[in-house]
Amino acid sequence: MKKREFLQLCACGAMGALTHKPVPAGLRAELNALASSHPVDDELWKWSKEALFVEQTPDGVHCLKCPNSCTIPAGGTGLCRNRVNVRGKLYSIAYGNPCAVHVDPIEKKPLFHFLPSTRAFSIAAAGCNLSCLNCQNWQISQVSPKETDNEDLMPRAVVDAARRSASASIAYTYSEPTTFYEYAYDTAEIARREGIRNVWKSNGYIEEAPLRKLCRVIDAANIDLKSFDEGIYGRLNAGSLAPVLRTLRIFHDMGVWLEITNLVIPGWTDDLAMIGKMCAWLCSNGLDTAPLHFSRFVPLYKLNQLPPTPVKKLEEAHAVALKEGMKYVYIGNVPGHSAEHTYCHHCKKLIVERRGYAILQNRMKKSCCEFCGEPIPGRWQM
Amino acid sequence: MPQGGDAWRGTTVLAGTITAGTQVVLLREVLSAFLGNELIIGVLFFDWLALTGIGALLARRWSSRLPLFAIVPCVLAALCVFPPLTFAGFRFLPLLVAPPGSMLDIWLFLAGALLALAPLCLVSGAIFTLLIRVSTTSGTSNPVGSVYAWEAMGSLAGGALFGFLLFDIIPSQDLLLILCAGAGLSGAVLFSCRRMRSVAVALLPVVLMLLIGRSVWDADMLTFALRYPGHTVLAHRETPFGLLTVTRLGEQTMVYANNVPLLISGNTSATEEIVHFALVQRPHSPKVLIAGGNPAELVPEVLKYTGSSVRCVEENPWLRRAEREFLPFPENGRATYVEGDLRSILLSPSGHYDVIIIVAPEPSTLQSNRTYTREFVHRARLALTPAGVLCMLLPSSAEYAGDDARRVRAILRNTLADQFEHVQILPAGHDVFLASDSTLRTDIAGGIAEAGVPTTYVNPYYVQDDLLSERSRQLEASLGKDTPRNSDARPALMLAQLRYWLRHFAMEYWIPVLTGLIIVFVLFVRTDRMGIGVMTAGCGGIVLELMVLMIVQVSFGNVYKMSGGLIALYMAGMGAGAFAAGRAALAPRWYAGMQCCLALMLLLAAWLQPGISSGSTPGMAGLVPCLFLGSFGAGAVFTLTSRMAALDLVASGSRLYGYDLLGSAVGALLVGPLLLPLLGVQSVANAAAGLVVVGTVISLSSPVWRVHEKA
Repeated sequence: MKKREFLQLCACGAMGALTHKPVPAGLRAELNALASSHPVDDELWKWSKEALFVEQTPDGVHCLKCPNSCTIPAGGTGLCRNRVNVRGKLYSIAYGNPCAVHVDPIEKKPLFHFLPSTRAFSIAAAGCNLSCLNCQNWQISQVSPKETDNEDLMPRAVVDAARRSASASIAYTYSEPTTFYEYAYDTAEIARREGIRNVWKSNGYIEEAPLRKLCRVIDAANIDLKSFDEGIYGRLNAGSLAPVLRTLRIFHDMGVWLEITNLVIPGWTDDLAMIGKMCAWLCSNGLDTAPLHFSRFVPLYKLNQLPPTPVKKLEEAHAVALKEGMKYVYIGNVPGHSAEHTYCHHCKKLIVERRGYAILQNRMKKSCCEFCGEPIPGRWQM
Repeated sequence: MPQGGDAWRGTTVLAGTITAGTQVVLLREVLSAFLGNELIIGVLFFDWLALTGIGALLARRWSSRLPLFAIVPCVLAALCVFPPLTFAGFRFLPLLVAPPGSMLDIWLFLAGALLALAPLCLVSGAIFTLLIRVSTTSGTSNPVGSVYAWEAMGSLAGGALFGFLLFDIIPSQDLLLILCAGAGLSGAVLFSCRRMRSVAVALLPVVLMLLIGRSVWDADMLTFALRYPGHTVLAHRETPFGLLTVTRLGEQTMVYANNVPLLISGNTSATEEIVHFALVQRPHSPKVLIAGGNPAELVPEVLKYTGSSVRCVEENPWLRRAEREFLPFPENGRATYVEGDLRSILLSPSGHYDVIIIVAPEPSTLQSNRTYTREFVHRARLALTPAGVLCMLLPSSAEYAGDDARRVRAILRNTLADQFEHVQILPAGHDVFLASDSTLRTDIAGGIAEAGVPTTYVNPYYVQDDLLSERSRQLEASLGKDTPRNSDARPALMLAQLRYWLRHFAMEYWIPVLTGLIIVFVLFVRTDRMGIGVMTAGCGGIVLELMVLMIVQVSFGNVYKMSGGLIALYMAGMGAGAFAAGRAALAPRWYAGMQCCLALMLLLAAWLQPGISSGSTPGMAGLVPCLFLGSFGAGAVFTLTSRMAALDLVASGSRLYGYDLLGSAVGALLVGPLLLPLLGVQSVANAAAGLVVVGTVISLSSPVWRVHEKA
């Protein structure tokens, strides 16, 4: 007997015995809901696809996808919760099973220098290789695909749906696309062939080999650089900084359009000295033209006792970044703020006036500043 | 100060007072450090009662080793040392293990609470056993029942002092420290009188530290600074609604209630969503009622609509005072500000408001759940004009709502749909629930443009109507229709919200349930028949107490002082029952009568509930004797059983006390957080009354009764 049945039987029996009333159907459903448990079977599931980037070891299959470097014994699951070892082979159980499918403005990712005012067909499968205390999407990132309600959407169908929704790109987003790499890669390959762009919204926690392969099919990436301190990365995100920095360099070197998001969390990542160091590192690694988005924190998930980031702090971070040499710095999650706009880094004039997801005026000509002719980096057109 | 042969009575009362006071103080800690909800409070009481019961049972084996003359001073010394240590554990352990600004993990809470409570509760249980031993030598006719009764009197005093008598005069933790210092000083004097001067001298620095420590060291400020570095604290008050702290960080002013940010200035997007999603539905000269939220920012948004007027209700007068001082709201002829219980305010006048917006915390406690129930929604509907709109909010389900999040939303949607013809959920920064008997629109940005209201966030630049409608459709389609409705008597939404909350920690609800069931099973197997009677009476008693508290809280709102009064009433009934049973004839009919009294009061409380929920004063008046008589029965059952005990009064008394508390512990764990929201008041009362009757039948079949009759 399963524990669900046991609990149900106990509760129904006790209630029946004590109240002499039949157990209502609604209550039975309620008891079922209370006793629900995580699936633990190690069988293949739906279209489970054999995982890329693995090596066999005596202790199990060694996953080489991300820096967690899990060695997964038979019947085991990786830290990301969606790579399982079934009879000595590693499978991705996220393949073809997105749990979130939406259409978003591209600016929501955020990507400000990539096909502005277009829409991105956005998909996510459950799982993540980090455990951030402030995760917005913890209901899909901290669980396995077996625990979410998924759509049956193979790569071909994703591309078709993106086309139907008039989206210019497909975004692999919300949870962590590194964990559904095979699904994202296959989808991106088809999309690219058919003229739809691919957007990678990620924590950047990925190994070099899979990342270099990925760069062949990805057009733009927004990477969360969560802080510039190994200790904070460990405590806040259960990850580490160095692999993320490597990811930024590789995306840049491989010619993928890159934008960076830094979430400024009060008491955690709002140290201006640390932000200054981060910007100095970005500049010294040729990433000074990569748009940097300082995003306002709002209380979420386990980090729900902190207030939102003061706008003043974001403005200070913005000033520090400009001072360090970053050329395109934005403030996110603060509606109506002037740091939503793009200013030419050369003549300092307003060239793209934004309000939310709309562009009110665009003073660029052929990707250059209309006033001084300076090229403005980005992928502005299809 | 009690002396000589009567010292045990005074010490017993003091023990009851201090332990009750410690419970109040720790409850406050739980509320502020652990986001206290019904589950957490249930676990806390379970730990407390079970550990105390175990302490009493364990002390049977070694209590005889302590010299009789040293017992009272040792008890007083323990009362001086352990409560402050436990308080410190609850205050500082979370700071050591939880990252700044984060919720404490439930697993850490379960382990930490057990660890922090164990010393105090085990000692507290042992104190009961030790005091029985002293009382047996004092010539008291019924030593076990007397200790039980005096302890109940002490708890009554503690509940009254900490709950309402001294609440406005002295902070509860200061009062606790003073009482502990008093116990320590008394203990030192007694040690000194009994030629144990070295122990007395050792106690004095502890007493001194308790007395002056608070004046040189503000624990609240220190912990707040550790938890929220960089904040400037503007005000900090203990109120009947919990701890209220106002801070500033950058340009933002925050009001924290129990360390959770309740109001935050400069929250433009949230403010605009709350107001405009509802008001674009009825934009022409709307009469608006807003309950909760930050009027400083909500009111100006409402007043942007031509001809609008707004009434802001706040239940917590201390919060309103803080708002006036630190988040001043506009004084305008079109805006009025009212303090009071929202449910009462909704009663009149009817058909008045075009829009009612409820900005309430998540329904994870009975207190917050009361603004999401069928009864509340019904009142809100009556207060609306025929085409009026009720707006409620839940935190955003973001890009995906899991099973539990969907269940919460489905219950609320279905509860609203029972009362209104149209219900619409708009998933944005919040999940906004709109309900009306007239049609509702989802093109919010279009509506704003039509109304010509200037906004920063809710406009076509940020809110894309087609995407919002699509997400709304997706969410609606994922919600089941077959859910229970959330009601005062069966807070199904609270249960669903608690389950969703547990998901933050990858914990299943069945774990505490299974723990409770295992304990029930073990107790039933290991207990003799008389013990079962005491245990079921203990369980029935706590169920009655929790049920009454729930009924009053749901019906009357935040009733901190009234709750204190009800707990005091319960303890008074227990004490009176225990005293009276010490003088009554020792006959099975009395015993059965007392058990039946408890069972009947359980049924009566449930019978009174619907009337009280609809505001009936006679119903409320009936609840008072009901609680007193029920607890009278529970207290009497303990004393009658203790009088049947064999020669070893210490062993049998501590055993019965242990069973009584363990029965109560299981009741506290299962009833508040699980059975009440799952089954509802009526079924729980039936089940508890049935349990008491079963316990009575089993205990009456014990051979002890026949032995006693022959004797």
